[in-house]
This record gives sequence, C-alpha cells and structure tokens, in this order.
Amino acid sequence: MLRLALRNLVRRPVRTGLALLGLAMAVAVLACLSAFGTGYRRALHQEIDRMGVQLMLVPIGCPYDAAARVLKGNALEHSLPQSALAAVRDDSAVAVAAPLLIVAAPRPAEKRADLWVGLDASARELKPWWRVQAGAAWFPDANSVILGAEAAIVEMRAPGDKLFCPEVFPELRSGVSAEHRALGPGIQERRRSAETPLRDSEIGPPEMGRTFRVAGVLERSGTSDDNLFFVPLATAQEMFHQPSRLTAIAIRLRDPTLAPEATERLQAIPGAQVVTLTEMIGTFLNLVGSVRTLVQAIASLAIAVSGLGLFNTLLATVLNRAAEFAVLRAVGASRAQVFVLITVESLLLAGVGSGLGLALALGTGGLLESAVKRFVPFAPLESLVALTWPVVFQCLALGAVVGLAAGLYPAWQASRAQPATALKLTT
Amino acid sequence: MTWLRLAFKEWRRRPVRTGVTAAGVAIAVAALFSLLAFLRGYGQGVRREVERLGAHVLVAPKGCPYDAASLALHGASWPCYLKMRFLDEIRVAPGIAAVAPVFMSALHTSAGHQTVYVGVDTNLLLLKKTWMIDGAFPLQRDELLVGAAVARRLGWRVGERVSLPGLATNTATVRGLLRPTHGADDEFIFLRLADAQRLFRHPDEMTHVLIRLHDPNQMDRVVMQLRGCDAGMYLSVIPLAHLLRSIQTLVNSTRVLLACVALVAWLAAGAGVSNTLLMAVAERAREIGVMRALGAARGDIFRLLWVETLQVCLAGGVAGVLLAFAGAHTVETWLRTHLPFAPSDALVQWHWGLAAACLGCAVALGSAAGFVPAWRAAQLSPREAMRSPENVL
Repeated sequence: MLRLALRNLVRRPVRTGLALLGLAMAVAVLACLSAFGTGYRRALHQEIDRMGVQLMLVPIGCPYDAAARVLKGNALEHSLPQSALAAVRDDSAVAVAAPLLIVAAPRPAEKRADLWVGLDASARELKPWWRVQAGAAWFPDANSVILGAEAAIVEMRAPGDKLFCPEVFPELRSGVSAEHRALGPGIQERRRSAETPLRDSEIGPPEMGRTFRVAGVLERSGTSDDNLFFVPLATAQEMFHQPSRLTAIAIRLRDPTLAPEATERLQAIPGAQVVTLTEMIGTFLNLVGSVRTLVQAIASLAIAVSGLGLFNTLLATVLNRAAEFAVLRAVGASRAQVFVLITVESLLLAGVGSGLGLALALGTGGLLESAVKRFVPFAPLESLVALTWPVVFQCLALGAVVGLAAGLYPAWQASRAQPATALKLTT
Repeated sequence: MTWLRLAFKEWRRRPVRTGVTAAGVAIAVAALFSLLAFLRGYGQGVRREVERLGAHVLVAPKGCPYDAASLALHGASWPCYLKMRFLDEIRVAPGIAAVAPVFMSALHTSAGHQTVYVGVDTNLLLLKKTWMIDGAFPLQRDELLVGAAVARRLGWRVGERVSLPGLATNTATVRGLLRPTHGADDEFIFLRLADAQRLFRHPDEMTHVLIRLHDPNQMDRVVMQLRGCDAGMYLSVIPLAHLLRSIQTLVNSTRVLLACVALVAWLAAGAGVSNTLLMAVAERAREIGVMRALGAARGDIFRLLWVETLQVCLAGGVAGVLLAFAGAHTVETWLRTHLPFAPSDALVQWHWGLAAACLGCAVALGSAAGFVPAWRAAQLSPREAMRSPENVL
C-alpha cells in the first residue's frame, strides 16, 4: 500500500513538489518558533543559574533594561555611588556583594566597542566556573588584565603579553561631558574634584592610554564573558574616569528565601533599585511570549493555507484518476481499500512535507537565531533554537493531522468510484 | 469582457477547487491585513493615549517606567507611593508649566468591574485642556467629578448624593460630570486629593505626578534637572515622549519578524494557486490544443490563464479583507490578552489604504503564481496537446 501511494506521488513531481513546498515552509516556521521558545527559556535559566546571583542592585531607570544590560555585559548610562556597596554589605541577609563597573570602550577604527569590566575579589565567589585556560587566575597587580576566550583570540594575546588600551574618553579628562550632565549637578561636582589628581598623574606621553600585562585567559564559557576584558575594579574606575562609581552590584543572599525582606531594605538605598532575577526572567519570558504568540498565530494560518493547497492537489489527483479507481474497484478492491490508499498518500505527502520543513528549520535555524537575537530584550549567547525531540514530534504530529484532514474528502470521493464506469472509460 | 467571462466560466466548472484556492488566498490576505492594521492601530493608539493624558513627564515611584506609564494611563492600584514633600522640589524646576499630583487607587467592586478613584487638585485642569465638564470641578470635601462611562453605568446625576462603590460606608456628592473623552478618563471617579488620601489611608502620599512643560522641546533639560534634585534619588522621572518612542521601537522590531512569517503564509498560498493552475492546465491540455488549432495565438492562451489566476486571487483578496474586517473584534480581544501594553483605543482599525495595499499584494501574488502555468500552457504545441490523452505535465 505504502509503495503504491509513493509511486503515485512520484508520478507527478511538479504537483507533489509544489504541494510539499507550502507545507514544508509553514512547518519550518512553526518548528523554529517552538524550538526558539524552549531554547530561550532554557538558556535564560542556565545563564541566571550560572551567575549564582539572586538580586541585583542597579541605578534608577528601567530595572529590567538595566539588569539585562549588566547580564549581557553592556554599559549602563547611569551609575551607582560606591557608598551603596558598603550599605549592601552591611545588610545581614547578603552573603556576597560583588561590585561591577562595566564600560564600553569604543574602537572607531574597528567599528566595535570593547567591554571592560572592573571586578573585585568578591566576584570570584560569584563565578564558580571562573577557570583560566592559561596564566594566572587573578590579577597580580593593578595593571593586569584577564581576557575572555574570544577577546584573547581577537586581540591575539597570550598570558604575559602586553596589551595597550588607548585613552577612550579624552573628553572626560577635561571638564564636563554629556554623561556628567546626565548625572546631575551634585554628582558632577564630586566627580570633577576627584578627577583632578588623576589628570595630573597621567598626562605625559603623546599618546594617552594605559599598558596592561595579560595575566590570564579564561576558558570558553559560552556566555557573554567570552568577549570581555576583566581588570581590577580600581583600575577600571581610574582608566574610565569613574572614580567611586559602579554600574551594578550583584548580590548573593545567605538564603534565597530571604529575598523579599532583603529587597525591601536594599530598595531604600538612594539612587538605586533592586531587581530580583526570578522576577526579571518572568518579565522577559512574558514579553518574548507575547511576540511569540503573535508569530505563532500567523504561522498556524500559514499551515492552514498549505493544508488547503494539499487538499486541492489531492482532490484534483482523485478526479484525474477516477478511471484508475474504477478499475481498482472492478478488480476487487473494496471501497475501504481505495479510501485508505488515498489517505496514505495524503499522510505520506504531509509527512514528507513536515520532514522537509524540519530539515529547513535545522538549516535556517542559525540564520533565524541571529535575526531574533537583535529583537529579543535579553538574548543569552547560547543557542536559542533548540530543536528537541518533543518539538520534532509535535511538528510531525501536526503535519499528520493536516494531511489527514486534507485527505479525508478526496479519499471519500475516490472511494465512491463505481466499478461499472471502468468498462465505459476503457472503451 | 469576453476574456473575463471565459475565465470566469472555467472557474465555475470546478467550484470546490476554485473555492479552496480562493480561501487559501483569503486567509493569507486576512492575516496580512490584520497584521498591518494592528501595527498601525497600535502605534496610533499609544500616541493618542499619551496625548490625552496631557502630561509631558510622568513622575512615579522607582520601578519599570513601562509599568508606571501603563498604571497611570489605564488606572490601577499602585504598589508604592511618593511623599508629598517631593512635590515642592518638582515645582521649582524651571520650564514646568503645571504639576498635578495624583493619588490613584482601584477597587474591584463587582465581578469584572473595577472602580478607579483618582485624587487630584485643580492643577489637573491645566493639563486636561480638552476636558468638558457639566457642573463643576470638586473643590469641597466629599465632592466628585465622574467620568462619562461610570456616570452612565451607575446612573449618577449632578447634585446627587451617592454612596461610593467599594467604599460603601462613604457617601459623596456628584459635583460634575465629565463629557466623554473616549479615553481611560471616562472610567475614573475624580475626587479631591485630600479626600482620596483620607479614604485610602495614605495621608501625605501620592501615586504619581503629571507634569506639563512650557516647551516640550525642553524635555531633556527638565528631566535631567528633576533627576538631579535631591528627591530625584527616590523618583523615577519618565519622559513620556521617549517612552512612546521606545514602545514604538519595540513594536517596529517585531514587525520584521511578523512580516517574515506572513510572507511564508503568502508563499504557501502562492504555491497553492500555482499548483491548482498547473493541474488545470494539465487537465485542459486538449482543450487548449483545440483553441490553438482554431487560431488562438500563444499570447491569447497565456492571457486567458493569467486572467483566470487574477480573478481567483482578487476574489480571495476581497474575501480576505472582508474576513479580517469581520473578525477584527475577535482578533482585538485576543491581542489584548496577549500584549503587555495595550492602548484602550481600537487596535485593529479599518483603513482604505491598507485594504488597497492588501488587494494589490493579492494581485501581485496572482500574477507571480499564474506566470509559470500560463507560460507552460502557451508553450503547448497544438498537435501534441490534442494527441495527449489526459495529461502532459
């Protein structure tokens, strides 16, 4: 039966191909979507778990936006005063509080920005997976840098090599910049006075900047850390002229269940707000979910359209082959057998279509991923499109349902062929 | 005309097939139309809603500005409160035309209905220039200004003594009725700020502050000033125009994704049309052969088949647009439950330009899908075609 159905389909390659094309594309989109959903959720949880952080203290602004930027290693527009760190560490529920200063250093020549992250020793406790591939595991002195795996390749540096970082914000060295103004007059005053000694000590060589010695290179972690330049916190504050400013404070609690009370206390720190990471995941998933639902709705319409195409193809085939069915019936095939033959044909068509669609999804998944990463608010660096077995089965099952639905009426039509017509037609 | 009639007759010969093909096109067109209408309606709705609020800057407790804006626009209970003393610092900032403190709280009174109480003072009138009030603005203790929708629902009249929904032990006098604004204000009950603070037991607190500027172009400067002041450490200062822009950016960025998926639906529909037509050509090979033998030129055959395709696609397109129009309400309800920030205006709006564009797309689809089958039919040599028993393709 299967072979017969297959041979019938191969008989009209163009027709079969066109019917398959529509279905394959629709299934591919749906598969990518489902895969994306699962992949995104998994990658997000994984990234958060890996950080071992329950709360994050960020400057006032949209907390979700801020937390997402920090997680991805992006620079923030606003910053926290260092005094907030002491306040956080004083809190009884806080086990580890790691200050971070993340600055994007523009490299106009290469048309990209390097991300420099200032850390202090407490960060090591938050990053248990912090493993060096080569060199020292921590900064031996103020002028040492530890590179992410990707950054080391881009910069072509190994431990012991020298790395020169040019002065990136020359305008910050002398007077008021746009960012200063953004921070308000009070902060601006404080900042300017703190900067003065720095300026005196650093002006000298014609090309301003700072030379680092590469202390170590990190193992590839599959996260945003791979692209970062890590330096001691104080060095980062100095080289980017952000004395006693922090981008964020990552907080691990003694007990995760203490989060609500701790959040309330920490929220009182002026100029700062607390983001709970579990809450944040929820918001992201909601936001991404709503877009996904929208896309999914249109994708199901595409499946419906391709189902109609399938139906049409089968119906036309059945009409064309009326004589054939009449002969089949005349030589002893039962109605049920003819019905099953057409149903098998349609299922086969749908199955091959879905299979092609899945293959297409696998092929274009990477392309889709890079497109989607630009749109989602917080995209983990790991693969988002996870074509798991449940997704595959789901798509195949859907294809089968579409095939079955599209094949029923044509199969019924075919099974109605009268054996007597066979005699008429052959003459 | 003969061309059209001839093509039309052909489609009538196979009503099921034609119907199904047109239905495929209709679904694709309906999806596209709904999508475009939604993207348009969403952008407009958000903009109009912010315009109706009358404020340029929103000052709210710390938190996500999107949440805060949504609360302020649609009316809800706020999770945090601001101290009244911040108001003095806000007032002194330069470039500010009006500062209206608001205390907003929502009570669930009956199933599905929530009553939003908004405590305001006369400063609000400086922001809501378009308001038309029958009666007067509440100035005395226990006086109300009632939104049009609430007044209609509860049957309240000016001067009536009413008991407050959700706060049954309290009564108040309706001093004014707000004429319909077609916005969220219609659903609000306005009362004096002091009364609201007393009723909800938050003396000396407010939920947000609406600020109108002399010159909206000075926005950045004023926002910086507000963020820089001492109270700024406890506030989130939200420039609504920027918020609007970022929502727009968010929607725009999903647009590409949605368009790609819609394109797939179109390709599926196109493949369906093409396939149907190829089958039709195969079935009618003999007929086409007769036509050619009778003197029809290749161009004629091509034209005949092309007109057939266009007819089906156009019919499908019209049906699709009508379908989208008829289903707009359902689509909208569905969208509202799935979107994080939905303006209260109609999301899916009818627009002639969009309808025309969708029909244009349907015609383009028909032309593209019909090209190969029509060309193939035109290439048939009359002799071969007449000889072919059933099928040459």
